[in-house]
Amino acid sequence: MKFLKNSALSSSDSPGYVRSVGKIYWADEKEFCLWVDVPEAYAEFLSESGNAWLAAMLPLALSIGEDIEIGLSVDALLLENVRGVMAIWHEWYPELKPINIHCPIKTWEPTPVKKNAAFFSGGIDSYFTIARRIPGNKYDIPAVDKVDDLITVWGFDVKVREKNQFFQLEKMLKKSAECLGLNHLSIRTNLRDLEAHIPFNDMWRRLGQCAGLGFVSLVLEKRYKKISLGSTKAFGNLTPWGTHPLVDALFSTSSLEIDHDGASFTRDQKTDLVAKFPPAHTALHVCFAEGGYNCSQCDKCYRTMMTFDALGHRETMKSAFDWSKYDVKNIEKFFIKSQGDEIYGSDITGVAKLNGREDIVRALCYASRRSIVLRPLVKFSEWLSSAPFIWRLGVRLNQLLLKGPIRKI
Amino acid sequence: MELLSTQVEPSIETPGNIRCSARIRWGLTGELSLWVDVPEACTKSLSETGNPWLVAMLPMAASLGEDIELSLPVDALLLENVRGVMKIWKEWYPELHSVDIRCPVKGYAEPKSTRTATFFSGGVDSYFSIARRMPQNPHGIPAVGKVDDLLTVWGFDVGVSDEAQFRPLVGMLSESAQRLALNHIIVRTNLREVMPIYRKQWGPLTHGAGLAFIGLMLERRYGEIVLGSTYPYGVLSPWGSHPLVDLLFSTSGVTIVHDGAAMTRIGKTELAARLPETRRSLHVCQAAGLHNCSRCEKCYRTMIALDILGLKEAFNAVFDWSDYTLLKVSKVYVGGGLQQIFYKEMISAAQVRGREDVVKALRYSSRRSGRLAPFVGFAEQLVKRPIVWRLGIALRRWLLSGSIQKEYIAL
Repeated sequence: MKFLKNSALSSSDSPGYVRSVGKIYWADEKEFCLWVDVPEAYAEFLSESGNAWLAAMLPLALSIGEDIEIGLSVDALLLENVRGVMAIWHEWYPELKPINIHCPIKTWEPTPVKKNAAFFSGGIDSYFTIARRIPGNKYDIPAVDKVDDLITVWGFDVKVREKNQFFQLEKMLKKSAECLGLNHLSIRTNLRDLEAHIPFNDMWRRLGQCAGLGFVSLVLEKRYKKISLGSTKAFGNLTPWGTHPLVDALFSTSSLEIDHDGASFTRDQKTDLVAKFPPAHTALHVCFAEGGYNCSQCDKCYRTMMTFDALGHRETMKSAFDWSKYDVKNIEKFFIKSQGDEIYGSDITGVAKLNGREDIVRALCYASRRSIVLRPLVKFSEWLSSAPFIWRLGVRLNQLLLKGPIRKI
Repeated sequence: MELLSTQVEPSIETPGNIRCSARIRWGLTGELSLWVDVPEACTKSLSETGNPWLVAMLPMAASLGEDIELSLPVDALLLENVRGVMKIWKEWYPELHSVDIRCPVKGYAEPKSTRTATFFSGGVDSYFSIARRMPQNPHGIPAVGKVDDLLTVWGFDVGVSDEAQFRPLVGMLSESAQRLALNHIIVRTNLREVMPIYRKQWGPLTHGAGLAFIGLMLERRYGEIVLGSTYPYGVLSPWGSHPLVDLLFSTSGVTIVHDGAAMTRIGKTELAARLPETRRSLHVCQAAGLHNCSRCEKCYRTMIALDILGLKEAFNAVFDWSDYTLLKVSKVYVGGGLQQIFYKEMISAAQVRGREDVVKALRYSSRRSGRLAPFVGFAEQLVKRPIVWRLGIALRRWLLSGSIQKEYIAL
């Protein structure tokens, strides 16, 4: 697998942006043109090393078992770390075998003091990270660090060609960053188009997320000293996943630290802190279904709404959701699909018990029992959906099984 | 558990040192005095927060199920991190408790120091960390960072009162640091003496916390403290020093770096060997003070790696190769657990280098150790019981007679 070309030019697709482009060749005849757009004001910080491209190529290289060849120099620590990433992935997914990386090595050099950034999607994890990074804040939240820039990626949660949806979201996030007195920038990339070439099931969630966030971070490596990304699962409940405290940190170089933030907290603990952070009260955005607001009907919205409700923050968060669509009775129809959903479910149950919300506890217990029955049927319908000829039947069956007041996104 | 008071005064036991001590109350009536001696020149570097004390108290509190109380402020990030440590420990060892911590909280302040220290025992891990932290070195080793100070702890591998063992060793380490043009700081502590969990559970639980305690005691001096990894990624399991846990002893001003887990031990040995100072001063042995005994398991483990790498000649100054034979390699008692990892790595490396003789000897040793391990484990259980403990010692000795095995300086 080769990385051959690296150039920066004005982006024709995104006015006011500079595009850094690289070409990846593999399996003798295949090629992919990977690009990333950053605002023109940040062009001077664009990486000139092979670090970002190495992070981007890693999941594909391991999935197809090809060595990586890059003509650009790669940081000595990153090169070492990537061995660690491969060892961990091989332990988790034995079909992924470590590969060799051929490239010039760039050794450590003292760097001038740089800035800190955090990824910002407007969700619980983002606000949790930011709330603890405003030294001397007036909300009585102890600061653990500082943050200068908030980075939103266009092309990860929102697809790279979904202009309307992204612009709505971006507008809201920019406003929120402004209120916080922080700098906001959007970075656009077609990295997830590469997924179509990666023969690894559920690649983004199981493998690619950390490499993707590592790629975007390293693109602006000349600007930053540390970039924080919000944790998904908490310590004590970690399982192989696309973002993980062990793996994320290994996309660090000798001058840029990737910080997996907040894994000491469960999601309900994070949610509780976010409710005490007024800037999040109006600008919180957890919904994948809509661009600029929370639909208050999907499973992601509902999960967050029931946590706020169980914690007694419904009134505080009245502007972030349409609470007229929320009913504790509806929680009974909440489909708990994955192990991650189960962990969140049991965390919320714990909080509801603590706060004497027996109605939520009962509804979640019902949902849990119902999900145990539904799970094999849903799995069967998903299998049917991917089979030729009968896929329509599978889609119908899936819709029928998951029919209810809460939309599964 | 409660931190009752702290005091800083000249150390009577360690001339030229300042002693930072704390009185800690535990249980209903228990009280202990924990101290750390640092050179006078480091007085201004001594911590004024509750950070090091919290880290020191944590394993004992988690094992006793006692909340921790401190009147000194604790860094906000460390306080968060410690929650994570307890969650991980509880997952690994369900008998441990999650405890509450009551203390004033100190928010983030712009870090003042960018100095880096690495722990220095003179072993493979130490030289591996140092070798990669010498920018523009003439040995062609790519630098991943820099290092300013080397920290050696008296009271961990060598007993805090065992001056006869420690002095010659530290003399050798200081000379080595001097040749490397690095500052060498010796820190002495009675941590393992006054908190039994640091003796009994050093390997599986407290190793990383102990080192972090020392690092944070000098938190005003450092931005980064490096400690060498034990096991590599891909084969990690619950252990006292672990990349997930060690990092969580960081504060918002000091990062604790678990260094080198991306490399296998033989990979580390190969890289460290490129540094001439390693060839001159490597010290891996815990059986003897100054020299490597070249007879114990730890010496043999390193000697086998050097043999596979074709570096026997290069390490003539630090090992006595006259007694090293492959027959003895086949008699190394590896144990049945995590230690097997290092030997499996060496088998793979020997295969790659076509050293079938070493592969054969290592395989024999691994099989033999696997067979012996349950019986040795049984004997070790007997040793802990009253009345039959002598029988346990005799049984263990008989089972391992003729084996190359671990030997330690008595603490």
